[in-house]
Amino acid sequence: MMKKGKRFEWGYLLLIPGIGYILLFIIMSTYVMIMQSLGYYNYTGESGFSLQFWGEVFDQQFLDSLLYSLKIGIGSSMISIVICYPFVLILQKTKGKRILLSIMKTPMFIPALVGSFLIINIIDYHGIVNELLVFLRIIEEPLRLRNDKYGIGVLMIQVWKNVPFQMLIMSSAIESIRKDVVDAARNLGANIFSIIRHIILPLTLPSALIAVTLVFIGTFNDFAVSNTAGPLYPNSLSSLMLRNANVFGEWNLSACIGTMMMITTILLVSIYTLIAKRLEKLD
Amino acid sequence: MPKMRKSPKSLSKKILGFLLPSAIGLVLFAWIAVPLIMAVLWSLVNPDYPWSYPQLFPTNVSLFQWEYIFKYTNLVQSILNSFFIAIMSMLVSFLLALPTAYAIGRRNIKGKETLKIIMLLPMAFPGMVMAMFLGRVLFMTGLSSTRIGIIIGHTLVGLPYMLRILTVSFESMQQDLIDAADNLGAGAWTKFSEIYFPMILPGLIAGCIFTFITSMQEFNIAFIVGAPIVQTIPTILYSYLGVNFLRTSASVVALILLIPNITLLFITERFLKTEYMGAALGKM
Repeated sequence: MMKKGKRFEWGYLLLIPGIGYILLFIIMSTYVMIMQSLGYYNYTGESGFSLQFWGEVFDQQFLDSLLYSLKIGIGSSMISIVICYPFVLILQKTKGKRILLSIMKTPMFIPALVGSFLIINIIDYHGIVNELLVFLRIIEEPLRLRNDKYGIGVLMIQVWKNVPFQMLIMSSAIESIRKDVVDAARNLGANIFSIIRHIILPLTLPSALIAVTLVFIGTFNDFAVSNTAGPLYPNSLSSLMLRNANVFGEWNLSACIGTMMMITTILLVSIYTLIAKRLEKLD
Repeated sequence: MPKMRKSPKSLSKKILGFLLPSAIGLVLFAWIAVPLIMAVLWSLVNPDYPWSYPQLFPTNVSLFQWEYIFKYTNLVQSILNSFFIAIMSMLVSFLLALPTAYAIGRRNIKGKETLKIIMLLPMAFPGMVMAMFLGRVLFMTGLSSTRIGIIIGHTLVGLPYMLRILTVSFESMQQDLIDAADNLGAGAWTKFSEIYFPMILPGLIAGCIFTFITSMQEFNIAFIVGAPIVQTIPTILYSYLGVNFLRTSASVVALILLIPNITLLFITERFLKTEYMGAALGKM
C-alpha cells in the first residue's frame, strides 16, 4: 500500500512479454490481411488501393459456402446443446459422476483431425453404424454419410466432439445452482419437470449461451473436419479461402473472406464476453 | 422433507441408482470406446487377409501396417518435429506468460479487464485465417517452412491458455502469506522460490499440459507455415484423409497422435481442476 502513488508501477513493463507477443502477431496478421483485401501486398503484379475485390467476393460460390458454414455452425451447436442438457441433468443424480465426467473430458483431448477420422471410420458405407442399422432392418441399404451432400457426416463429427465440451460447462453451471432453491420448490409441490422448466433452465441459460457461442465459433471457422468429411460442394468458408489463395492465386479475395470471418467471430466473442460479465455480476 | 416418502420408493430407487450409472456408462462406451476400438482394429488389418463387408471383425491381425508406416514414410521425422515444436512452444509460452500473469494477478495495474480480453484474441481468431495471414507475415520474414516459424505460431495459439491459467493461480494466492514473508525480510528470490513458485505450480502444470496438447494437435498453422518442408503428425494424418484416403495408414497415424494426449490426460487428470478448466475454456 505504501508503494502506491509516486513510485513508477513497473508491473506495466511485465505486460510486454505476454500481451505484447499476442498483440504484435495478431496486429501484424490482421494488418496484412486487411491491406491485402484492399489490393496491397500482392505476390505478383502491381499493388495498390482498390475496392474491386470487395465487389468480386460475393459470388454464388461464396454465398453457398457461407450458407454451408452457417448451417454447420448453428446445426452442430444446437444439436449438441439439445443432447447435452438431458445428459447433464441425469448425470447430476448418478453415483459415479466424477469418473464419468473425467471420461467425458477425453474427446476434448482428441485432435479435430483424429476425431474426424474416428467418426468417418464408423459412419462409412460399410462402417459399424451402417451395418448395425442394416442388421436391425431399420434401413434397406447403407446410407452415404461421409462426403454427403448435406454435411451430415460433418455434423455428426462436430456433435461427437462438442457434446462433452458443453457438458463440462453445463455441469459446472448446474452444480452452482443453490440446493435450497430447488428444495424450496420441491417443498412447495413442484415436480421434477417444473423444477427443470422454472429453475434449472433459466438459471443455466447464460452458460448454455456461452457453450453454444463457443461451439459455433469453432465449427463455423472449421477447416479440417469439413475438408475430410464434408461435401465436395459447397466447401466451408475456411476451405474456400484457402483454395482461392493456394489454387487460384487470388490472395486478395481470400483476404476479403478472412476479414469477414474475423469480423463475425469478433462480434460473437464480444457478445459472449458481455454475457460472461453479466454472469459474474449475477454471482 | 421427503424423508417420509422414502421407504416405499427405496427399492425402485436402488434399482434406478444401479441402472442409471450403467446406462450412462454404456452410452459413454458407445460414444468414446467404439470409435477408438474400430481404429485399433483397422490399424491391425493384415493386407493378405482383407477385412471386407460381411465380416464384423478382421479374420487375421498383424502389425504390418505399423511396420509399413514406420519403415516407408517420414513419420518418425514428423513425430520428432511435433515433439520438438510442442516442447519449445510450451517453454516459450511459459517464459512469456510468467511475468505478465504475475503483473495481472498481483500488481496494481489498470485495465485488467481489457487485458483479459486481449488474452482471448488468439483463441477466438479463426484458425485458418490466422494460419494463412500469420504465414504471410512469416513468409515476409523468411521464417516460412521452418520449425521456428511453426513454434512462433504455436506459441501464439498456446500462450492464452498459459496466461489465463497462470493469472488465475496468481489471483487466487493469499496476500497474508506474501505479507508474512515481507515482514520476515525475505528477498525477491526467496519470495519467488519459497512462496510464489510452489503456489502456482499446479496451475503451471495445467498450463503446460494445455499448451503442449494445443501444439501437438494444431493443424492449420503447421499445414500452412510448415509446407512443404516441415511435417508434423497432424499434417501427415491429413495427407491420408484427403484425396488418397488410406484407412489403415490413417488409423496408425491417428493412434500415434492420440497416445501423448491421452497419456497426459490420464496422468494429469488431478491437475486439471475445475477452475483451470474454466480458465482454459474461456470462463474467467
